[in-house]
Amino acid sequence: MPSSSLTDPRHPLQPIGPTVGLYVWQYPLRLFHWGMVLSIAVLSFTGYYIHDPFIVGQVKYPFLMGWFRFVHETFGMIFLALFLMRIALFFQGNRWVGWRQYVPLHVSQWKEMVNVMKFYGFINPKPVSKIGHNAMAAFSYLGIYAVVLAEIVTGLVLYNRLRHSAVLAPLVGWIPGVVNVQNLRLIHFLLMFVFIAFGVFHVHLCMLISRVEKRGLMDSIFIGYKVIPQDELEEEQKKAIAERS
Amino acid sequence: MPERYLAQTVAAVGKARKPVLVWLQFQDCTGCSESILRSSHPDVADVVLDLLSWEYHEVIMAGAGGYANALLDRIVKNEKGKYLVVVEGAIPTAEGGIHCMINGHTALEIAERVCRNAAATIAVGACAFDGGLVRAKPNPTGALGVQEAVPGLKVINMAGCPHNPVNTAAVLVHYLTFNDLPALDQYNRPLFAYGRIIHDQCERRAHYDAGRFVTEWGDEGHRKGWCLYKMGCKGPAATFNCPVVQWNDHTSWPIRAGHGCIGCASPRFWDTMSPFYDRLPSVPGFGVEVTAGEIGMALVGATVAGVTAHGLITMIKPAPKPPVEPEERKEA
Repeated sequence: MPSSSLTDPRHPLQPIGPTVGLYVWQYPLRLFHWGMVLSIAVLSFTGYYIHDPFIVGQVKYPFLMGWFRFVHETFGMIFLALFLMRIALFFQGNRWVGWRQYVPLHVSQWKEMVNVMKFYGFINPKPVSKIGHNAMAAFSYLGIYAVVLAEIVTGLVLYNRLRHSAVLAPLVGWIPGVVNVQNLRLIHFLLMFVFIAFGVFHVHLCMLISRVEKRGLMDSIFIGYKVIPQDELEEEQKKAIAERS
Repeated sequence: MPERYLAQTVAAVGKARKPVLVWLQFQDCTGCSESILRSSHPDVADVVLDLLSWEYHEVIMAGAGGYANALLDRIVKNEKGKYLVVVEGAIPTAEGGIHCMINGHTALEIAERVCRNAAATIAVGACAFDGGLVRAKPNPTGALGVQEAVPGLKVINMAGCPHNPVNTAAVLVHYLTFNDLPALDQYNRPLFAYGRIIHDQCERRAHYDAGRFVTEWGDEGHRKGWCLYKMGCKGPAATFNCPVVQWNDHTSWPIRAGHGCIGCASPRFWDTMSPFYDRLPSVPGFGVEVTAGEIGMALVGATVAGVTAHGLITMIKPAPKPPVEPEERKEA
């Protein structure tokens, strides 16, 4: 006969004290996030086809490669727009998406990274719980933004070679004179795999932390809210005031 | 050239005083000379006999030895600042430039003397443009193109392996007509010939857009003349007017003949456009047999394996104890 208790003995209750639902991820950031997911998926698929056209000799669609390239270029522009939006959010977004969180200028951020790595390496049983990103996550996102920028620049160089755009030519037209265009193509292609590897890492670590933390981390990227203990919020508030003054 | 310049061109070409042309040849295969001999717009007889006073060209001139040397000396002295010089071949700079010497002078000395005193220098072929084959890794002779070996010249580069004689003849006629060189790109190549991507002018482009590709030499697609993209054609990376002017009196050109473009008119093409039969360069440090795609797949595979292992360890390890309750914290 099943127990009438609602608690599973293998998963005891996890008291976390008084909490609040805090709106952490504003909608532009969530739009950026899911826009990136979509555009990286589309760009990777179409880009891989452009690299190695695996559908050969069909007669049904007489503009197949043309369509792949059109979709790739269109989503490339969406990708660029999302990146510019993210740059704006560094300066216009809330505390947890501002650039200070991402650039490790303070020793405390480096110490936090070590603690995060200790959790990943099974040395510490508890993760570093933060309202926004932990220092390690934030730093890795800064790295992935650099990859995004490299992908955009190499992509624009290749685009400009075909389009001879009056806007792009002065911006990126000089780059093939420094780095050969074939190497730019190689970089553009190889960085795609960095995104895919990052995606695998990212989903795994988010699931892991969400499971241990039990603060609705996975939910937060959909709804914006995270479950935050009241005392942590107060501490963060004090820190924010101290930084402001 | 537009038709409205016809009268001007005819007048210029018919001028009494013909400019002297000197053709220097250094480290190369003579392919560029061979190529100009096959020029038909105008043909080489017209150029040599009517358009220019083509006085010095080791391959085709009648004179030799002391007579030829004296002729070159006389041109440099008497026609100073007025004659045109065409350079074919790379200029070696290693070990004092001894790897190419004519009449006891290094190629570098000859180029310095002849090009510095010329009205303009036309560097024909990949070797004279940027060192070409001679400069390809490991470049044992320290070969350089003319504009690098003799900096500061008024130079126009007719890149390509070989140069296309139609373009070179066009530059000569342009010079005769306007007494100046045509508009140049960032590599000093004339824009009229090197301004557009080969891929955009290619007769097989429709097959590319439709996704009809050759996947193996001699396969059905190859016999039908489909796009050579998957065979490593560098048409999308290279600029040249090859598809338009073609070769040997507009007979054919590499892609029509069924071979992918190797980007011969692009800077340092032996190093930058190879491997010629692969779409992308080999990744440094991985050897030539490993493609970029394989490296990427391996990276993703390793990541998946890594996170799977990490996830499994997390599941095997007991879940962390519940956090200390706030009441207990107060007591402690």
